[in-house]
Amino acid sequence: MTRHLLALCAMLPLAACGNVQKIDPSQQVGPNPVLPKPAEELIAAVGVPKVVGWKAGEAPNVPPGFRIEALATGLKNPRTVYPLPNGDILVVETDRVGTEPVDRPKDPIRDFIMSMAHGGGGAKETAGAGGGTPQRITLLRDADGDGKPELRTILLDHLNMPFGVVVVGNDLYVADTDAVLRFPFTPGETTITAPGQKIVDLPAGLIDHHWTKSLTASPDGSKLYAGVGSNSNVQERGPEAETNRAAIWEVDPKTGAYRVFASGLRNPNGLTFYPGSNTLWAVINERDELGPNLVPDYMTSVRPGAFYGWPYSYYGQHVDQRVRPQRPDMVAEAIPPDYALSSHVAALGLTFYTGANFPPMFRGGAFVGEHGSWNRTQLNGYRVVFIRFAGGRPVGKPYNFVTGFVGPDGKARGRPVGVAVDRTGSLLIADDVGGTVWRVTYGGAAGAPARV
Amino acid sequence: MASTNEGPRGGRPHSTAKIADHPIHPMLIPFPIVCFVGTFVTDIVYTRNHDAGWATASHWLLAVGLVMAALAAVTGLTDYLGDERLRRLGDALKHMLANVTAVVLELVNLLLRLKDPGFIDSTGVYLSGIVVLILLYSGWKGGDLVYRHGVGVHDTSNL
Repeated sequence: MTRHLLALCAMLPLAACGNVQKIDPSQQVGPNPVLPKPAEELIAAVGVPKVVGWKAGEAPNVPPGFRIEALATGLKNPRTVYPLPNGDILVVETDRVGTEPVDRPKDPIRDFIMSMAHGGGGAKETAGAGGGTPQRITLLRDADGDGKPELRTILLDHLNMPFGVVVVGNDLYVADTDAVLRFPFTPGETTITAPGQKIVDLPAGLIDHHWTKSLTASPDGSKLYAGVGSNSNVQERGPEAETNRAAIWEVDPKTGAYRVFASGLRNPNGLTFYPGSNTLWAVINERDELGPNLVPDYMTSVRPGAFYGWPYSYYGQHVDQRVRPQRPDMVAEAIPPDYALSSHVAALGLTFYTGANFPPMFRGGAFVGEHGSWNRTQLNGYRVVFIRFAGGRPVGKPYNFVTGFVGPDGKARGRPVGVAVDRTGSLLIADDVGGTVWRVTYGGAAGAPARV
Repeated sequence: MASTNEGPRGGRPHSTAKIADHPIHPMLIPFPIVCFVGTFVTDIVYTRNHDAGWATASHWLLAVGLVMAALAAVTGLTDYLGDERLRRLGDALKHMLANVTAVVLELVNLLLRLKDPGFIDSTGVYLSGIVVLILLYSGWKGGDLVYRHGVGVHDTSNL
């Protein structure tokens, strides 16, 4: 009986190869990505590189004319980097505490794959110096701006899966996975001992599938914006588990009052206002398990009150037939996003170039940190891309800006997450599994980087 | 009965995978049968109310059913290969082929619903129902093997 069974099992994947999405990721960037039909695979494709870390002297690659150096190493899973006007740089070192509860038979398999992708080699905890999961914000002081911090202190510790951070005046706001907290903070301070005051609870709970809560403030500082990712891939845990999730919240920091600012955004991160405007932008991780080239992640300006489709549809009104219940009324309201980044790149960081150090083409453009794919056998992402802007809108195709996070041996040295521009006009990159914050400077003699 | 007086070679087909003369295969098969019938039930409930909990129940019933079916298959195949008289029985082959079909259908049934919450409505509930029909047939054939051909029945059991 088992012989027959094995033979039949071996034939099944062959039978399922009828619908291959033969398109190149470069056809899935920009405002009008090519969207193939959903793939009918029996088993979702999985490919994650083993994480080996950076050896001494190794660094990612940057285009000619640029230099990249480590601003800080030995960090534990740094995911957000936030420079202050006085030159201090905040680094959020954070990770999920524990794993999602096992809900379905596939969950233990998913947890194993994700732990491989986070450098644990299949172990539950992330590799790093010292035990435990980091839950803190580290301060780096680089007063002379030479990229070699003179001081490194722990500004805040014992947070709860923090991710977003923003300073407004003398208030430091942190988005833990379950709440936005406010701490009194005078720029220049190197530790905060005062307890945080909770502004508002954010959806977390036992599952908390997409746990990273991105945070930013409106240009006038009167409102906060928090990204709240979905609790599932395509609502397989039911609509109740997604209440007020897959959304960007607008929070009044004075009263704690909130409203859903925009919805249908599966996992929004990198919340940033376009410089000199009141337009909020974000990068969104779209759904998985429709094939290697569905659905492209995207960068978009976020229109107040808009619905961007998740889970019922993608890229406007492309219906996802897997979702229960189907909601044609919601699909009719869905609007397409601005700019595709190609499928499964896992865009987690976004910043606009406001410095003067890089060549003119970079001014006002966007850097996007792409953490990298798991749901395709050929890796995609694992890089920082640059997208030119003109008149506050993205133009042309993205450029590969920082690459080499995955070596020629197919093993990952690091994976980029948050990106930011410091006061010297250098680009900072939080590299979580590499335990490093990278700093990219420009040394003259430009050459345009290669297009994606 | 005449057959009870015959020696081991001429008597009833015996079971090879057994504990103290109790064949293991019949001890295991209730698990996949109950799990797969249960899957059909929870699938029907899910298609009526779309409560994700019922879909989750189906996932576990299918997964546990498949694991127990694999164990039952190992013991069944051991019995099949362990006695030539058993291999000569047409009912044994029919029983095996029906069960292999059921298990393959349930494997596909599980894999496809893992990434598609809507699969239960569109196809899964029908697959689960077809498997229940196949199990009725293969269970009947399994009954033939024991109650008509006396497979695994001890030659002196009715003394």
